[in-house]
Amino acid sequence: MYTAVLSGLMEKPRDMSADAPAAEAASDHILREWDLVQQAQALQESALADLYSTYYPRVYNYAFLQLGDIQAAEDLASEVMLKVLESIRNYRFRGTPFSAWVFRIARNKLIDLHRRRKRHGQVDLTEPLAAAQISPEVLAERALDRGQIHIALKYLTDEQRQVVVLKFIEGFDNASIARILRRSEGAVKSLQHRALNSLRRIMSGEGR
Amino acid sequence: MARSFAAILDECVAAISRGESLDACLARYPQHAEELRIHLLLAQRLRLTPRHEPRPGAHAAAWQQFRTRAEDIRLGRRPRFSININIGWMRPLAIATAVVLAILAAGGGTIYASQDALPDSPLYRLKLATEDVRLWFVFDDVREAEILLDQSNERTDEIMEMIRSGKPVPGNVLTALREREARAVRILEDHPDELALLARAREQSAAQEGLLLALWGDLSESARGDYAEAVATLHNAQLRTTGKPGSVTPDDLAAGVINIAGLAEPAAEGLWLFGGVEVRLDTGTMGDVDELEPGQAVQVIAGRGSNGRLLALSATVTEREQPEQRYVVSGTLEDVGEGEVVVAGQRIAITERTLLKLKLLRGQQVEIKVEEEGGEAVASSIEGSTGDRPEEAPALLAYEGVIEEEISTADATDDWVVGGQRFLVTPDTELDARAGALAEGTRARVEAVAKDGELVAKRVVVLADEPEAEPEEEDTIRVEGVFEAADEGSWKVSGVEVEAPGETETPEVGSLVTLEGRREGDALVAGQAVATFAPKREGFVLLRGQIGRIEEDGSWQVGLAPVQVNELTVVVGEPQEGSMVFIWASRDEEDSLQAIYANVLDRRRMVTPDPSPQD
Repeated sequence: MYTAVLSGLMEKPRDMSADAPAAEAASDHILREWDLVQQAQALQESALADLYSTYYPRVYNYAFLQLGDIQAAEDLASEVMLKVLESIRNYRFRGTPFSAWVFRIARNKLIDLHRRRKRHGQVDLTEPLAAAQISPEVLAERALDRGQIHIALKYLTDEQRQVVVLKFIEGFDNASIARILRRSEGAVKSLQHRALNSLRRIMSGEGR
Repeated sequence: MARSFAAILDECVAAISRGESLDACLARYPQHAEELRIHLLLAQRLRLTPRHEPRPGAHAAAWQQFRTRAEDIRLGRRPRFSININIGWMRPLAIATAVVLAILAAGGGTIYASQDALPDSPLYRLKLATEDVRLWFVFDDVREAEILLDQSNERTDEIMEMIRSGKPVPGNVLTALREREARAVRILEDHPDELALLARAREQSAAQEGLLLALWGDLSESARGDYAEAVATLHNAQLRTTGKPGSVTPDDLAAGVINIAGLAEPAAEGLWLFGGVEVRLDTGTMGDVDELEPGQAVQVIAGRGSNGRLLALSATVTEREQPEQRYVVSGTLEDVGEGEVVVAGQRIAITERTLLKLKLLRGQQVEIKVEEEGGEAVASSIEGSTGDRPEEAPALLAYEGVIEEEISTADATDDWVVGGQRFLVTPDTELDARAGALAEGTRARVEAVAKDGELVAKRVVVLADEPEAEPEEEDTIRVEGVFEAADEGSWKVSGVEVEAPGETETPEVGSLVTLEGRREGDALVAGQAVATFAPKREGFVLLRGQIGRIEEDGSWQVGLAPVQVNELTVVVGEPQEGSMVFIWASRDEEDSLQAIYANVLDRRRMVTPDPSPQD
């Protein structure tokens, strides 16, 4: 059963190349994407529309999980897509998949946003007002009840959260995550372990 | 060199994603199997996390912006906006522009036309977008908060209009209401000196929460999630504007709400029993939480979480000695005037806060919840007959029997069996357990209407044991309702099949009948007809409330309604000032409200009823 569930991950855009068929599929995907990117670099409308419809929702989801704020996530996704458009002519395939390049931009925009908010003393209020005042134990229980583990992500460190979102929700492999975060693959593995460990403790009521 | 657990975990995550089984991976590392399993299962749950989809309006707006920028780049134009501008500032215009373009592209529609759009209209999104645009030109925080409050209040009016038109409330209006109210509160938190606006935000949030709590049954199925978010936000807005630290989450309301009155009994730290129902009270609970004492009668409105647990949104101590100023009247709308209706000769005011669940027409059957405000009867809500036949006499059923199965309050809707009869209990059902715990074996009175083949409970009232009276047989039932049909020895009374009482004439259809009997197996056998009353021209009026005063001439004051009680009245129970009473009445020749049958809920009998039919 677990296999069936976990293997569903392969349906998401993946950049993995761990075995031959998977590697073949992944390289096919990268080649198709590269072809699309070249058309977008020539500003072909249909290619731009394809890229937009693929990445805007993904970046929005990534941003929402980090920010917990619909409007801020919409803004960030929009900013990222404009940056992608302006910079796409500079993109060259040198081992970094295009998707990782887009998420690298998203990551940078997110860091910018946090800096801006810090500078302006802005409080990050998620849509249920004051939701942050729930204890981790209660939150973990609720998250389990509704299968919404992403709520518990709030209790991870920024880097742990990045790894969880990029790997388990966006389906990136360690090499791509390492490029997005500018960390080594070893560090990504270690962050993955620490993130899962923290989530387990939060959900079992042990707190952080 | 031994591999680190992090490396082993990573290998298994990758292997499973390639199709390997969990057990195969665990078998390779038996010394880590237990810990690995937990981590890998957690990874599985993370992968199942539902994705958040962007709102279509924002998606379309961002696409317009993206295309425009692409065109600029093609033509070698400089960007019109620096990409470092906070797009949030531009969002309202961008969304409005995108929506307007979309509508113009579709070949029709105007912004003006959208201004009266209701949430089920295709133009509604445009209406919201143009409201956003208005805010775009407001540069004063306080003014923005004020406009947001106005816009949120406009959503209240839209919800009321949807309800009045008999349409289900969709999620979009709930979301728009919530977002505007929350944004206003966020702004006002930075302006603590704006006391008047803060007070307005608090009062408006309270009124909106109160409205939504009464609307669970009027939501479209898909709006339940938006409903929970809206109620949670409105509740939290009140907490924050009163400086209280607590909060509730949409999860706390995922399975609706529950409305229960009961005696308070501490259960554990933070947990109380109200009428035997366990409810958690915490810092998010409004009302008399700090003063709560065991034995007090308390009115609780609680959210029901997805796990079935109840968290009190509010807990209010009610004085049992003092009659409530609220009562319920059901009957025919005799007149519909400007700002008032007339039922049973009683003028009842309608204000902008009155929740109208129908378009008012003379001759309609309605149920009105009435409150006294400054000596005037004011309708807090007016509903149409929710029965299967709205134009006929209200098919309200009052049914007394013993709760036969262990009851649950864990689910949004549940079937309770009382006296052999199955009733559907919903979040709209009022539970009054002040006389005893809601538990198997307790006698209860259920007021219900037949709807879609089911008996939907409107109220469940636990009946007090009367120590001096002989205990009633467990299978004794009482039925009060409208006679609908007779068929081979059985009567249908307000949707319930009852074996007809012996030696009693079949009443006229539409008659009020009150029966006593017992449950025999699955059959309900009416031992005797306590009384039957033929319908009068204007039908019957039902009045439910507390007796405020008993006059010397024997008439009662129920709320603001004077009711004649005389030798023609069958009274079950012993009426006292403050007693809860359920009265079937009709207008007499002098237009007074004449009580025909009065059931006082403490179960003591004052007048031995005459079993022979009247009229």
